[in-house]
Amino acid sequence: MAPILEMKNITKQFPGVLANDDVNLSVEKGSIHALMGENGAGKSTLMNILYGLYSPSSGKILLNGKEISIDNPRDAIDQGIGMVHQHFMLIPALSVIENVVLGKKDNKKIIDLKKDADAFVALGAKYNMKIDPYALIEDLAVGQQQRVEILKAIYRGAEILILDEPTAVLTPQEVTELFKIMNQLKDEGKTIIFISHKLKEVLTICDTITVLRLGRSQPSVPSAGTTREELAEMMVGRKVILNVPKGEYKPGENVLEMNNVFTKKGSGSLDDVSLEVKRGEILGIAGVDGNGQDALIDAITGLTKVTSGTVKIKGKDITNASARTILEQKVSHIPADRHKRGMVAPMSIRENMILVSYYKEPFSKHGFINWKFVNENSEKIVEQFKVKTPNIDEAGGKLSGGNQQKMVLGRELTRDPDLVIAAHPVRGLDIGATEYVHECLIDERDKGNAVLLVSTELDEVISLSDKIAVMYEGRIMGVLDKEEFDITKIGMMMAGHV
Amino acid sequence: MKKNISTGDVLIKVLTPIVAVGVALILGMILIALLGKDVGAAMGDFFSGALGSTVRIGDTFSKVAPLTFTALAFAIASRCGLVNIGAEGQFYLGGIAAGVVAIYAPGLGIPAVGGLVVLVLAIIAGFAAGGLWGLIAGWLKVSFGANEVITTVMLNYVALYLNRYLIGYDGPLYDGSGQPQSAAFQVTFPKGFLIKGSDLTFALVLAILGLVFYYVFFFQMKKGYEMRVVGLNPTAAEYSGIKVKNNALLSMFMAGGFGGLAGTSEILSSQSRILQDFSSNYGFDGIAVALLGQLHPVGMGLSAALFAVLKSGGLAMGNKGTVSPYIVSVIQAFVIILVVASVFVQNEYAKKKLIKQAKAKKAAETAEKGV
Repeated sequence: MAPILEMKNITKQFPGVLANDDVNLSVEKGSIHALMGENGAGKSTLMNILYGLYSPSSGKILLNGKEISIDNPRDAIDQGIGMVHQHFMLIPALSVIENVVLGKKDNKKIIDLKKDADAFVALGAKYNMKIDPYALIEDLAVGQQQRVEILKAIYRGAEILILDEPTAVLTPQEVTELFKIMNQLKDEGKTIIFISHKLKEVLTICDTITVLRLGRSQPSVPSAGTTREELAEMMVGRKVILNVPKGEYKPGENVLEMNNVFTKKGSGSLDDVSLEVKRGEILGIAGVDGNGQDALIDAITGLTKVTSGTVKIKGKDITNASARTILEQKVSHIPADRHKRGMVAPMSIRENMILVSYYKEPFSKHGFINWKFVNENSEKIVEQFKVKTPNIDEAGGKLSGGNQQKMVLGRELTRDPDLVIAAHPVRGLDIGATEYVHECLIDERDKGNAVLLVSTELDEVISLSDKIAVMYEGRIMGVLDKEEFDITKIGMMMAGHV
Repeated sequence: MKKNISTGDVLIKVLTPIVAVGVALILGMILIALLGKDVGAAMGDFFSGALGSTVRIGDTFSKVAPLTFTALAFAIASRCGLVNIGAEGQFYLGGIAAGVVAIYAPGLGIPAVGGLVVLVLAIIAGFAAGGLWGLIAGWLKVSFGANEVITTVMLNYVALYLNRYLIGYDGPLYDGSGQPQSAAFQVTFPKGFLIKGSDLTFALVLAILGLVFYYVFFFQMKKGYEMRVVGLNPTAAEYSGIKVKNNALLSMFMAGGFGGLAGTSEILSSQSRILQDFSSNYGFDGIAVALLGQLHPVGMGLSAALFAVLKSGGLAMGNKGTVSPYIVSVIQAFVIILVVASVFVQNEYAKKKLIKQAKAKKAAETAEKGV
């Protein structure tokens, strides 16, 4: 069969970055085609070119064998290309159908919402999707919002559907649902481009896989007969250990103890949380993003007020103590958002390396910073944690995401912690850096330190943790031991079912 | 350790402000010509007035101290992420406090020692009064979230009119002479420092010490580091246990204090009593000085010197009557606009350099492959 879509020799030059470098992509009609690659590999750039958000520096796009030019998203929609962005483009205060007709090109001066609503419901029924066209978007669960987005694209006549990291926000059950819908769309002859960096999902759902690495496309491979390891190697360019080996599980005494902790009411606040993390143990917190994980970390690290309950570290009550007092209990905190909290982007690496310890000897003395010691120490951390940088005077913000995280990790782990709190430690990192961060966390556990790992990537939580606590709407739905780790069970708990 | 800064980068950083100033002067000359005045005569008056003799140079440089201090008042707050537009008000408060000490302290039996003790007391009083004035804006900010740009601007007016009241006919500092003014200072900074017969005083040394302090505080001391973290990323400061509000308060106190020192140095150097409206716009000039100097201690010192020349040259032009001294305000505005523009030039240069590097890298890679 002839390809429905071809992107030939696409090159996109940004100031200082060659985002796409002679990329070729050929997609068969009626197939699910995966576009994989690490962060910064050029996936989003390529899709934004296809959707008319960027124009390529050179190269051409062929639709059904004919060259077309796409200058803006309207052109793309007219050509039958629809896109579901990772962050949905819906207006929360409007109803489903209002969102659907918004910007539709054949809108009359007076919109007949009822007509569109009926047609939209009928379309939904075709895919076994029950949708209330008059429900407000803000009242819908994330998974439902995503379905609205997909249906909206089809309603507007999309033949080629681009899904950008669609599973990032879903529970495992919702992922299964999504895959069903995708298969059904495929059976009807629609074409789907599936952007992801999750190896397992891609192998499950896709027919053909194209990997981008450093802005260049690798030759496409069929998903049948390709292994995860092979894919990982294509993405990184070298062999990767996907499962980091761990030492034997020998839990010691409690390092962190939380009893019936509540935080100030609001979305994602803690609701009667009790937890403990022992020496030599990684406790993983699983849950869909926004279910109280942030409040949990903030409550432990003194960044939000605990309204009732107690938090103890090594037996010492630190409930509502200052952030500094808590860090002084040998707590290392690798924050969820490194740009917001973990580093000061315009400051140099050496200045970032002392963010938490600058006030203590030997980092400073008699009110003055001991730059000689700081410089030597920073050089050491940079070397030990393989931070790639020309020198320690480079601004932290100029490093790549992976190297920024290594900088934060190096600073935090060289403070000799008893408790390591790692929030989404590999978010936005490539496979190589992920592997390294995981090794470091396991190393801490094997040294007999306690590790609290918060992540929305279930695979990561399962492969690293000794125990898993599942959070839903600010509550702990249960704590599972290693032998109880079961993706279906955890998925149910993530969705609020016990 | 190799610094990652090429000479080209430094050159462009130093050259752009100089070019900006040059272009501003040329634009000013064009403006004078358009007004139908004699450009040569005006420029002659300008330069001979500002730099025509050693005494004149001394007079001109007597303005460096207040300009440097008001620039520091802006820069210190700026490093902590705050915008202090209140140097003008802090200038008045500092000047009044120092003036009061200079009028009344010698009568209180303080040992004379050539007025030295009184001068030290006046400096302390000037710093404290300006600092407290700055602290008001800082307190309003951390307690009620009041925008410091607005509060400092408003406090400028309060300070201006407070001064008018104090030395006015009903005011406690009024000397009864029929003019709105205070009694004469008993002690002032001795003139003729370095250059005999000029208005230059020891305040210039204080200003240079202020710049040295600024550098040491922000780049060598832990408190200054803390303040910079707050200024650049307040959430990272909270994460690491730095108290954001305390730093905001301290920086506004210090900024206000330097604004107060500006008033102190001006009033005790070039005036003999507290007069009405005694700041000739120093507080606002300081903002331009700080920005032109890119918040860098050396840069601020140099731009303070430049503004001193512009100020005293302009005054000379006005006195001679060739053109209005306000022309110089226009030239100053040109300088500021062009300096802002030069930042774009620098960014453009950096961008081009990045693209060039990326292209070179790609070419090298292709060559390596040997295709």
